[in-house]
Amino acid sequence: MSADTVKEGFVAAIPNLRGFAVSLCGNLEHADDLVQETLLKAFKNINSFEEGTNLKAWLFTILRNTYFSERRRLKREVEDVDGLHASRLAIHPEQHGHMDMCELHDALNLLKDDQREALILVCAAGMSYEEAATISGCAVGTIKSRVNRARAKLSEIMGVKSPEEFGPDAATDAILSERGYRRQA
Amino acid sequence: MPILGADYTAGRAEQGVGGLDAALQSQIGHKLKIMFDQVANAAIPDKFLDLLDKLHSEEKLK
Repeated sequence: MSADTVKEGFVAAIPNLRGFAVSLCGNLEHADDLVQETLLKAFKNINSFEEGTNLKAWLFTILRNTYFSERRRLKREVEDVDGLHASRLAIHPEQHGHMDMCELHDALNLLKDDQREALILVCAAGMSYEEAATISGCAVGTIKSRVNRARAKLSEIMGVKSPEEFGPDAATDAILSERGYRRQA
Repeated sequence: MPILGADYTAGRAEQGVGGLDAALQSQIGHKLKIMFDQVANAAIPDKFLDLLDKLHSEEKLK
């Protein structure tokens, strides 16, 4: 794989890596540190990447391994005091109902790590169950089960029982956005 | 790629997998996608491009 191809592939993957990282850790600055570390590790270990396979999935795997290793190390060093992690959460409020998004993110952080990861990969990053299973190193059935449990838990945490309580759906959002009615933070 | 995965896109009826209403599952997926896209659709910070340029140059020198 040429250095040019590697660079192009990495650049193309950065937006999704950032989206994945911020969904996992809840903090843009931390997310960017994770992406940077991922790129460094990936470049260093590019020889272990099998050409013709899924580069994005490979990079996602490095990022999630980096994130969970860091989590395990931090957990050993200091047990997270209730609310400390949550208080550090910050996502940029550029568009769409800032409060809704913060609430969603807080709820997301209350899920088990494996469930949160599965939900983000499949529902937010648009990975197939197969890709998500490869990234997480588990069976496809396990990913499906984690996604289902995560969805149920998320709606329970947020106290949402019907889609209407979750705000506008995709179609309404598209119309509001088109007409410039999208709610600002 | 499917946002909600094969089970959902296969068009399960009102009661979705995991006991949740299919429309609610769809809404959860939609909101997660918005959250993800807020970052994924932003411009790539220069620091990443600079880093890749540096790594790329070093690789070419090898």
